[in-house]
Amino acid sequence: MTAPSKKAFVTGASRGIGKAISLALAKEGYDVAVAARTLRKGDPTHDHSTSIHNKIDRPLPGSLEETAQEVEALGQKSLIIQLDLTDPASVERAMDQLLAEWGTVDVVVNDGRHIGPGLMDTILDTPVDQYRFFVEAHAISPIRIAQRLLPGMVAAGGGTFVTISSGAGTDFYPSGYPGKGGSGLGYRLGKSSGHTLVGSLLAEHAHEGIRAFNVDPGLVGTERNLPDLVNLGFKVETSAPPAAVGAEVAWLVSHSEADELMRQDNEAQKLAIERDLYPDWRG
Amino acid sequence: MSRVAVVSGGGTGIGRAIAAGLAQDGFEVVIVGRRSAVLERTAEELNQAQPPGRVSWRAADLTKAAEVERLVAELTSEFPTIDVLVNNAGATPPAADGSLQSLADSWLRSYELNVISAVLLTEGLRPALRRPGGRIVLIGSMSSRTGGSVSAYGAAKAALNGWVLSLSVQLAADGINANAVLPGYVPDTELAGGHPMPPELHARVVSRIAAGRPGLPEDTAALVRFLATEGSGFLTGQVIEVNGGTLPSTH
Repeated sequence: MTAPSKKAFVTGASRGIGKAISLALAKEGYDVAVAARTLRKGDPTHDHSTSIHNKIDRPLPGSLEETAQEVEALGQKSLIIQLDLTDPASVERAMDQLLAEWGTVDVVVNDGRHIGPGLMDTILDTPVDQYRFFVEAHAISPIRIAQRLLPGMVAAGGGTFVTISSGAGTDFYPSGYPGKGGSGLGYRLGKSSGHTLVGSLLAEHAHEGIRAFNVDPGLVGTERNLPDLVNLGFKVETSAPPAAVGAEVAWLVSHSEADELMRQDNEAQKLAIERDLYPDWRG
Repeated sequence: MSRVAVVSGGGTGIGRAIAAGLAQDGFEVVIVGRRSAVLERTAEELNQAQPPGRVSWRAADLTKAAEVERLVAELTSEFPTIDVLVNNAGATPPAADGSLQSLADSWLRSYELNVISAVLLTEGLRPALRRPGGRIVLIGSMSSRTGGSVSAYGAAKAALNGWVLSLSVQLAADGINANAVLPGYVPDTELAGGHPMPPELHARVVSRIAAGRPGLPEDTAALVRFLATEGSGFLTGQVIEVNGGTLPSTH
């Protein structure tokens, strides 16, 4: 009898970077609990406009069921967990489900993000209540998840956290105007708050075997992003494929030589190319 | 006697910066566009600048011959001689929906927005251009040379690069020059129809610019201001990129 597979929990796993990370971890031999809002193919998509000035709810490809099937096709177990990162009760229920079904996990990837009005809007244009969604999804929910999963991970001798960060969370003095190369304060607030989790996890739990990484994916051609690229007149090859980020995260999670990258901001695309983790996509 | 400049698409972005620059250089500037409210506000703001400009505006859809005829009649009755014409108006066309008919519509619309508009205004005002000394500037696009996902836009803009050669030859004997100016990446415009520019894409594009920063509308305006001078007379039929040293392959 072989040893049971290690287990990973990934948010934002219905599509894009979260899906790619789920599949990359499955290839590394992880069972993956995939979490997001979109359960089934064809389920209605939430408004994913980045501005109060337009509404975009065109359906996006990808769902938890499809990601789970692809994980299983790679020979690993999957667990579908529906959750809404902007809803505290939903996150608590998701943790109840995960702990009941799997007990504990070895890897937590905070990839899910809130896309909504305010992401590309000015301070004055963004209704103040919108800021809560960004902070809840990017900062509070990952803390909630850590509070529920950390004890089991520590008891098991350790584990790894990955936060998918963004330049919006690390550049405190952006030169770009929102929507013209810069992000709105809502997204900056969410991403910069979320960015701090890794450091506190390390400060408090590194001695107990907890590893943690911030990974900036850069520009990635996700199902959500590609139509924007085309509308703006840029080549699709300008962006990295999600699988490049997936390969990078799987490498960080499963290689102890990555430990030296824990207390820094990691650029996924640069590392993937430098370490030859994924074929070079640059045209 | 004051010199007169006409700037199409002068209400926003690069056109506005050109209008502002020419006004500062002492031109009496007429900005032309489709949206009265935008033009009116821009003219007002430029007239309140220091030093105050002399900027007026006229609304017209330059893709329609009848509207251009009316515009030309109004302009030439007010200004019998026009010194500088800047054809800056342009836009990306609506995307096709997958059918060949909508593809045809999208490409034809792009040609109307980016080529026909400039051709009609230029030919309409041609008799009124100062001889010698008139100046014609076409604002093209980097994507006419490097491509981009909106093929119909880059391809239409490329037509300007060819047309400017004909124009320059036809008008050289009259002492009028004609040049095309191709801005590089300038985020602070409405060209993308209000689509927000993602910061990650912005960073990627800027990383390919040797100057290390995105282009400003004023960078393009600086060259247009020179082309509007007497000293530019021997410079004609050229296609000049103002892009901060953009490396290929992003756009």
